[in-house]
Amino acid sequence: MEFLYNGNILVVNLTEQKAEEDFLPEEVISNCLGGARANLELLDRYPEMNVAIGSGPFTATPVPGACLAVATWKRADKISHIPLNLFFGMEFKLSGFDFVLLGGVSPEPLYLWLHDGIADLITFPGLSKDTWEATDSLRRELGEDLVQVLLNGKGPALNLGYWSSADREGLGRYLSSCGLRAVCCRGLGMLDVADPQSYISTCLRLQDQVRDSLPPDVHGLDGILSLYKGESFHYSASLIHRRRACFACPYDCNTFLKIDEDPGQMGLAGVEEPGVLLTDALSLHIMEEKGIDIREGAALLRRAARLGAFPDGAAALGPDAGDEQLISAEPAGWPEEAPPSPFSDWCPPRLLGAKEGDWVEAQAMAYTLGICPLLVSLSPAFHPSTLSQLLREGAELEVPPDHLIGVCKEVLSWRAG
Amino acid sequence: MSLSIDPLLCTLCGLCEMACSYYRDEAFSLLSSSVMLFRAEEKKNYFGVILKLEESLVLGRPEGVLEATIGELQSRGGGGASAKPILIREACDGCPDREVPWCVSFCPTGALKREGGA
Repeated sequence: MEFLYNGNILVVNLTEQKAEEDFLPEEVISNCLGGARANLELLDRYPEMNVAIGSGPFTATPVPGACLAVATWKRADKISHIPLNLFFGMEFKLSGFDFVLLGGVSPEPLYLWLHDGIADLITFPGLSKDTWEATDSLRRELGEDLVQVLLNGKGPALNLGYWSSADREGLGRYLSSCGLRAVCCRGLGMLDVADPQSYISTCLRLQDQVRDSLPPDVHGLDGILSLYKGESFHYSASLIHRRRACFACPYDCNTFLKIDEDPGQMGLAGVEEPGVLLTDALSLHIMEEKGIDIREGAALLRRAARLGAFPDGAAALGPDAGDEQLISAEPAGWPEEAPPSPFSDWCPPRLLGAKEGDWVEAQAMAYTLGICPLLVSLSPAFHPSTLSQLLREGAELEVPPDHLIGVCKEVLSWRAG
Repeated sequence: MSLSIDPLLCTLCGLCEMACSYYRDEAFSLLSSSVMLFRAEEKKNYFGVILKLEESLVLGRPEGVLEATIGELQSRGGGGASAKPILIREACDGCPDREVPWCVSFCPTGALKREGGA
């Protein structure tokens, strides 16, 4: 692919401890577009591989919410797609690889280091107490604080560095059992665009439309839960330090709570590890319903993040649970059943705010194109016609809106080949 | 200085960096931007915006905005890890062909503004 992609795949055979680059076939993108749908196609083409991490066509461009890489895990009886947000998706794609396929079992713990179009499989550095120490240790070893780290701790979930990810399947523990303890990436590459001026203008217009479509005065995870519950939700307000968006997102859902110092402390002075970045709405919802004090709840979610436990599972157990209980906790799940889909339970299981339509279809579009599924659930501005236009301007892909939806929905009906 | 920074409005979305790099290269990267996020102190949730001008850097830190010459910054320790890579980049020219600079147009919160205007 000449545009919006680097044009390559990395095939990692953990048994042989080899990472080999392959061309990304043109037709994979023209037929499948990218993200979850292309992950499935590639897992079909490389049947010895069972996990794919892939970017969408819009990942790492200024399309609103284009922060996403998707991890697709193929098992005999199940396919799961896990959204990887914050800065991971963007840095992953700009590291020079569009898709990484993982298979086999390494006899020793390794990590994969992606940078400048180069992939290295490296012995994992020693034993760390938890995901925070491991993240620090990997960043120290690689000499860069901005390296993005996807890793597993003692619990089952993948972490995005220090913070809980949207993994509710236990992919982290599975990858660790295959000898892959972490995927690290740093994105210093560049993506070409077919028609740069048109693409950037459409991105800017869509950014404005998405921003204008969001409910006023709604911010953070509390805002998501206000929309979900249909009533004002301010559970975490007393501890909020600042909220953070994922890459390219106009909505600041990630909420940092300061536990061990004044949330108003803005400077660098103070304690080294003052709090936790909350990335999961469900765990807040559960804790508020259970009447858990927010400071105790935030400390619990920090512990869950350090252990690599499911945050919603930890919230359901409550602050008195020991570390071993948190490690064993299963995901709690939303109170209402989500429509059947292969997507992570991280996102609330219905459309929010003014957004109307089919939740599963919206998720399929987000996971395929590389856009945050939460933002797509929230904003009515993501019209298939605009996304088609972006594919044409960005990558010279002619995909009519109906066909775009059809390709994305193939994710739902895919069966292991 | 053609831009003003309100660092506490920044949500670390990175659109300013991407938009500025697009202005330089007509491609998407984070390499050529004259504006850069400081995001190395993740555990403290300490982040802000750095702007490269011809003779100085503007550090939009959460505790306030500081403009200092590059020499002054180096004598104080360099302005943090993120300040170093920006020193070799082109200075902000305010996007002279646009009414509103790209970074300001893309900023979703108003953390970046054209000085004396929106």
